[in-house]
Amino acid sequence: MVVDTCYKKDSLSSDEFVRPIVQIIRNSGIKDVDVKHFTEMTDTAGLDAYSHIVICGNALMDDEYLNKIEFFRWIKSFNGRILGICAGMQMIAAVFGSVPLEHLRIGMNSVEIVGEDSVLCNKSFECYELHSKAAVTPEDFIRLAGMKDYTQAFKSRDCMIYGIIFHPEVRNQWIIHNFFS
Amino acid sequence: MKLGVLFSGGKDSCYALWKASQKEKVVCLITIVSENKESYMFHTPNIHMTELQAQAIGLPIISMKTQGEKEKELDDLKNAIGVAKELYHIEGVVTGAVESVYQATRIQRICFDLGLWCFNPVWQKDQVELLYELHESGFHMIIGGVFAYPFTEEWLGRIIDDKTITELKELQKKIRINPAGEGGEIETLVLDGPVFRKKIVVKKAEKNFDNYAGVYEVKEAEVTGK
Repeated sequence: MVVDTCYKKDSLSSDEFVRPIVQIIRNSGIKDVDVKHFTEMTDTAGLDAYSHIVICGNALMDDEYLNKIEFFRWIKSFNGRILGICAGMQMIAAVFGSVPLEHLRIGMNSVEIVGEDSVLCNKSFECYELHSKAAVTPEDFIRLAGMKDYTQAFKSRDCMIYGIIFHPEVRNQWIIHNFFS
Repeated sequence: MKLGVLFSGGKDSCYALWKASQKEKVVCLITIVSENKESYMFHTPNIHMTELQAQAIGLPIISMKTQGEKEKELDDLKNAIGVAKELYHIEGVVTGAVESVYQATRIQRICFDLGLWCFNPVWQKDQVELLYELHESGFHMIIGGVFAYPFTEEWLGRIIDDKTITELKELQKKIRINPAGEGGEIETLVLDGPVFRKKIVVKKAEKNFDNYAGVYEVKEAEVTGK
């Protein structure tokens, strides 16, 4: 499943932040990809049907999701894999108790992965960043990439929850393929 | 939300305009006329046609010139977007950026500085799928410029239909050209489509071609009813 965090359902932003992710997942061989707007994630009973959930990013000016943490509580109880991208990463961190920082980045930047990981298996690469806020690594999470107080990627110590601040649809589609493999 | 669309008159900006019109309120077009034919930021072939296209679409257009000096042209773009904000009270800008991180990041930064939303509805879209969707949705597009091998003079002015798309796909397989011209191989000109209230008819055009590069320059055209 793919969760749309944009300012409204079927928004103009979803063509930019959701459609490319859905296309990459389909290209990896998964033909049926359900998309739900984050405000529709209230009935968590049906989530058991999914093994993987990607929470997408959104536009720089979009902060609608930030004050709606109640729509992301399912993250803690979901038993499958979760990948949060940009705003998705911020909401994972928020659900686990950390508060986003003001941090503007627009453009290509370097990522250096610390340690071994099956999803973020490339050690260093260039990534596309587009955000005005960044997530702080919560307790019980390991920082996989970043510098000083800025985290570019983290994962949970206990379950398969990943967060990346950059947009893998640009030049790093391999991350989504690895997440689903 | 009131939006302005960065408009070059080619297929990507027309598609972006069409998508934006379905979901928000487009109130103006914004065009930068670059004197630098090598500009990384702005489309140049037939850019003079944007005034006529705006008339056919039925939207006001803010058209501003730039000398096209790298980075300085961004100030000119920022000024044009600023004028749109002042005149039409736009809250966001729509672009036809598909894969160019260079273009996208610069426009994102300008919008952020001006407190505007930035939308890129064609972002990362599959190039062949985009061509088919445009053609099947009723966009009448022609090839307005070619800038790489193996495009010959015969491609200039050619209508983009099923046959043309098939040939572009074959060239993609054979020599890895980008079938929608995102690598700058071809430029397009849109004469009609679902966002057009009227259509454009080309009365007179000239082909200027040399060494796998050329432009189908429209010299005379008019807006007529559909």
